[in-house]
Amino acid sequence: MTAPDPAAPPPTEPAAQPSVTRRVEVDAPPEEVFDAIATDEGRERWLDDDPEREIHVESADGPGRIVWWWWSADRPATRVEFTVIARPGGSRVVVTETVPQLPTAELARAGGAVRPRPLPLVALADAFAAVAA
Amino acid sequence: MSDRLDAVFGALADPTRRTVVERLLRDGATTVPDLTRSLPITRQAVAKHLTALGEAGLVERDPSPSRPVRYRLKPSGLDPAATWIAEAGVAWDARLDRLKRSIEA
Repeated sequence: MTAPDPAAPPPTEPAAQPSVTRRVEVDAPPEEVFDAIATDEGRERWLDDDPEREIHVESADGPGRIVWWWWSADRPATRVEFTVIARPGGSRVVVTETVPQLPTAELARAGGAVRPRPLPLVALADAFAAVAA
Repeated sequence: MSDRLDAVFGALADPTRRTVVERLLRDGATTVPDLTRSLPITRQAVAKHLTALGEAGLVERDPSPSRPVRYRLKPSGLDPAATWIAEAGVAWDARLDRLKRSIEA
């Protein structure tokens, strides 16, 4: 059973990057869980929803953390970070998928003086929905 | 879908543009001069940000004939971003469930 990660920022807090975080408890040691995430053989058993998607591993620090980028023809490149934490009787896996933010020439041309409070995307989406209603 | 998603996320990556969106949410339709008065950037910079938000489908011109031109949020503008967030959450729920079952089997 998976659940939204309670350690993740709630949607009402400012979020600089659009992201999704989930976690799951697994009854296996971190080394076994990490192998299932970090190896092609392991991923074939559970990560089969988009075989066209390319994965490029950014860093792997077993058994606690692996980061990859992935993309396919109809999906933007996103960053996926797994953290595997030992817990009594097994492991906790926390995954965060993040859409990278792009540097903006406009801000540089504006002098970079503006540092307003960022709006969380979820709040923006809700506000847009309210406008549409 | 990917192009629209890239455009929306790219536009909202800029904190100034997020502030412009916030102002439009708060004030409804507004003008370049009004935005310029409330932001420490030039009128030209405000206009460029509005153009970028418009190209991303987030902002549109108010069709009323008032002068100066007023800008407002496009209600469907953030649909790609909201859809991505919702779909990614559902997808990870399913993937982590499969990961757990594959290991514990």
